[in-house]
Amino acid sequence: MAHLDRPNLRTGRVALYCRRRVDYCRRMSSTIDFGGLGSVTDLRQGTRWSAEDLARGAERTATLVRPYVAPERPHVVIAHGGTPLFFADLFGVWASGGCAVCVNPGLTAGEMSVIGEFLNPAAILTGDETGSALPDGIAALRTDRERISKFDGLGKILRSLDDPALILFTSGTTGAPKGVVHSLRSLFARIGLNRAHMGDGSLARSLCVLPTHFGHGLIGNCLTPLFAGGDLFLWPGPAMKEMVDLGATLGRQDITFMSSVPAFWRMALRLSAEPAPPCLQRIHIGSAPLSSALWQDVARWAGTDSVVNMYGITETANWIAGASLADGPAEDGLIGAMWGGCAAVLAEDGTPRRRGEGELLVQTPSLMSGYHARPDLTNSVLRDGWYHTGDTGHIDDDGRIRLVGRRKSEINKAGIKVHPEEVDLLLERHPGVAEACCFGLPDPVSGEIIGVAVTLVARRSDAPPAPAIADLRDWCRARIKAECVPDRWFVVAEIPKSDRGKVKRDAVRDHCLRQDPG
Amino acid sequence: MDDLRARARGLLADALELTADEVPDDASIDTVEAWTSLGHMRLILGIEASMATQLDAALVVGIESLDDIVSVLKGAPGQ
Repeated sequence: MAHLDRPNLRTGRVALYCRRRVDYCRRMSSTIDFGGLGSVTDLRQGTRWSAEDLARGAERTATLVRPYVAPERPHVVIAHGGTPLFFADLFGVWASGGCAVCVNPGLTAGEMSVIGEFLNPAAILTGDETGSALPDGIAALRTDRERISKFDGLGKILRSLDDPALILFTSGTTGAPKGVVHSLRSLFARIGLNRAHMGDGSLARSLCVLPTHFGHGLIGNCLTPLFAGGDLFLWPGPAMKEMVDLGATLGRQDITFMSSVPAFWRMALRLSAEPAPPCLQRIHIGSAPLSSALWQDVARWAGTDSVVNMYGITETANWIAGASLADGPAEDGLIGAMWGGCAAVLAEDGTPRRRGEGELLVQTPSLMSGYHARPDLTNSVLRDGWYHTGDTGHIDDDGRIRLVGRRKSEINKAGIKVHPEEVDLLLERHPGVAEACCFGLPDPVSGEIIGVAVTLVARRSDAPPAPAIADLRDWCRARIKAECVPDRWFVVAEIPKSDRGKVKRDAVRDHCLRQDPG
Repeated sequence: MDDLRARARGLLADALELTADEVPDDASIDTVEAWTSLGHMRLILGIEASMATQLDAALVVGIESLDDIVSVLKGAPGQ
């Protein structure tokens, strides 16, 4: 463990707050305390679940799930989201002693099968949004429709605070899954820190437009206000026509807080009038780079300068730093000071430094336990007591962090992180593709889109014709979730490599754009 | 008219990263899978750049088909 300076007074206060939250968690570990929870409303259906409704729903889910959950088989996949039922299922899984695995309901049959084989889950909980393809041999339950003759009661949450409580997949659903594991301790440390930095007042009435299988949506935008006793309003992925009503919806529901991604705001500012009456006390924007111009435009539209550019990663239970316009002018890349824990940069000599530029390292009480069943991946990012973010940052003398680049190769498409290696490997399974290389391309709406260079298998003259791009696209759509399917395709004679034979994605992108600037 | 339709088809294909051949004559937001909300915003930016004007919000959400794009390019939406 590399040591840094003593924490300052603010960090000390936050640490005290966190210790209190952990004490609260210990008390919770005998029964779930729903008394302090807020409510959840589905804005499209118009249904509202109070804290009591959530408790009853969780009890129902726990009763249904408990016969399937065992210490050696704790995982329960929740394959739906964006509804009050989702939260009842989440809390019910915890109450059953299980570990909730929240997945994208839009996973293909193949992806769901990979998850099933990887986890061998005790059960899969379904909802209206769940795709029809579920793996064989695993109990599928629709908890709000199953018959129950006798409720078990809520019982214990988990065997200990440090048992796995939540798994979110960040990649690998077509091959080698990468599941981020959080315990109740890391989740409640994050929720406690969020509340300490945001204040419960602004969380009184929160709107979530994000998916609940994302750390940003689930932990930041939903669990934080719920455990602050606030009312949560769900409006996941509003369609274009719904976006016209964003301002009116905010005003009608008197929404005080919401979080989203820059791509959402690029659309919202074009389509919707300002909130009427002005109600937003705080806005978070994260999961993708925010330009200073868009940052200021959102503040003008919302009528508040409490617009915060957030930095968070699923591995840290989302938000770990934030910069607000209320504290200073907008700057590209500025993500402010840490919200608990500390940050450093990795100097060229391999030592962590409190100031300067390099790969951003963080220590935070909300850090994941690791990647499920992948010690190789875990050890590659958790080294010497630090989590290596893969982002390049600069930390100034006041501890403010600016992101200046990215070391990892992921593509950020409207806040959704796509791992190009995963798509390369999938495409190379196509019998007509010899080699594939994905890369990010700048896009005015999504920030980035996915470009791909493919070389086709050499064919004899009497062989069937080579696959067309449309065929390759359709083949991908059947095997990987829609957001990971490449947007722009380049069929090339050869994928350029370095003199050591390595593929450099930036060089491949430049090569493709020289051939076809678009 | 054919020129206008070809221009509309090109704008839609570019926005959705499709080839012009993949955009059928009856293309609509309900029938073309790649016509997502992000793709739609890309289409709007393309139309605006092509017409050197900014569309109002009602028109932005009113465009739902290739025919609608042709109408906008004609300067007579909905006709």
